[in-house]
Amino acid sequence: MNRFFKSKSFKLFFVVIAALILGSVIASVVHSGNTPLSSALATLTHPLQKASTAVGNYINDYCDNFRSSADLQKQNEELKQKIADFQYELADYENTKRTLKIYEEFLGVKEENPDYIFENASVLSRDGVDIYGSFILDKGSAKGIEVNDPVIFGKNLVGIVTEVTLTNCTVKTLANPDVSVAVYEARSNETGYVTGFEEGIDTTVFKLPGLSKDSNIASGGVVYTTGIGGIYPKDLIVGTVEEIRKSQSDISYYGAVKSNVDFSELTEVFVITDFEGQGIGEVTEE
Amino acid sequence: MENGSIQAEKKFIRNRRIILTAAVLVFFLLWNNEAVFPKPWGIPAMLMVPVVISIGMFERETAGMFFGLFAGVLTDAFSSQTVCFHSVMLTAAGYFSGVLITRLMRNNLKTCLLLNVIFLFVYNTLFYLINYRSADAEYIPYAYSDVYVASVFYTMLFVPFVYWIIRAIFKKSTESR
Repeated sequence: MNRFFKSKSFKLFFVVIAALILGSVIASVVHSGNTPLSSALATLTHPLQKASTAVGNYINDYCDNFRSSADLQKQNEELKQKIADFQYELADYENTKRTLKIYEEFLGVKEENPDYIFENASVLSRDGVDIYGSFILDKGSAKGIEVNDPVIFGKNLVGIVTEVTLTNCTVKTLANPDVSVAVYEARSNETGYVTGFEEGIDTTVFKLPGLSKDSNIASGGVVYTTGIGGIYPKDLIVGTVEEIRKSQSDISYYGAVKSNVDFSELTEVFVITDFEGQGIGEVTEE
Repeated sequence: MENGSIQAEKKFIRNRRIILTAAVLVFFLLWNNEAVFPKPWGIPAMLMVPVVISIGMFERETAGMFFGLFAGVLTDAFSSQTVCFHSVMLTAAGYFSGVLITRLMRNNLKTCLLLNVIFLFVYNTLFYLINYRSADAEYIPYAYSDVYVASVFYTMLFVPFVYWIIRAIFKKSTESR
């Protein structure tokens, strides 16, 4: 045994182990995770290690081709189910987002006009025959809705209630020539009225007639309700002047006003059942 | 004449050791590549231990020690947990397997299996004690039995293959002489 400890190989072994321990102590002192020797070897073998990983990944990918079809089918079904779940969640999310946006807009209107009393209503059906885009809402006189109540979407005026039953009501949009709204143009402050085109080609474009040659109304001007007449509250957005055209019947001009809302895509609206000044100056048909 | 044969002998040994070094490198790369060398249930195989012990058994203590040092430093270089643990342990494995074969044991598969099972238990237990015993995690007490003891048995599956490969290299080079 004594001979073993005195042997050359044991002394060498002892020196190597001592050097390794010393290396680890140095590494600890300099807060390095590696001894100089292992760092050098790691650098030298790094390309080999990289190549080995690349080969390994290639083999792994190659082996994937031999997976059983049952496994792949199962995986496929799981993925399809996941996609269906995500689509359902996405639809739900989009729906919630849309509703939230509508309510945010109405909240803004309500905060600006605390005197407004709203009734939220959903579009029940559309009049397929009417070229001006009339629609029926799912709320009626039972909820306090009356004829001539304005219908809005956000701050935008949509139309007016023209018929009311106990449980639903009919709304004529601004595109209908039967509907006219007293308006003013914000930039020039000129007043006038907006009504629908008789031809009813585009239900989102209305006519602002009676403009003189010297009118300051130009394209890009925003048109608001004046509140005159007591049917529509003041400062609801009617639309934006798209262009000024010459009337074919006389020497006047008219503005084509485009609504910010596409009436054909409305699913939810709010009916203003009461506001300050409602009915004042209203002309009733006797 | 005698001088020439010594030179030839030295050249022959050097060539064999170059081949063995390449073998260590190949084993290391295979072992370090999860795509090639799987870890079932997260259990690692300590492949470098049978490699070093087998080389130590054939090359004896001094060369075995340096092969152990090479394998250990290589392992430490790519290990995030220890600084010198693998170097010390594998150097010792290479050295003592050579010493035991020279002085006490015969060089065959049985002794190789015996040396491996003892050394793997010591190796894994020390590794566990150094790295995990002080950690205060809930799963730590189970890590020894579920990972490190299991790792000994998993590694033992590869011992005969490694031994045969190293023996084949040794025999082939002896025959060529």
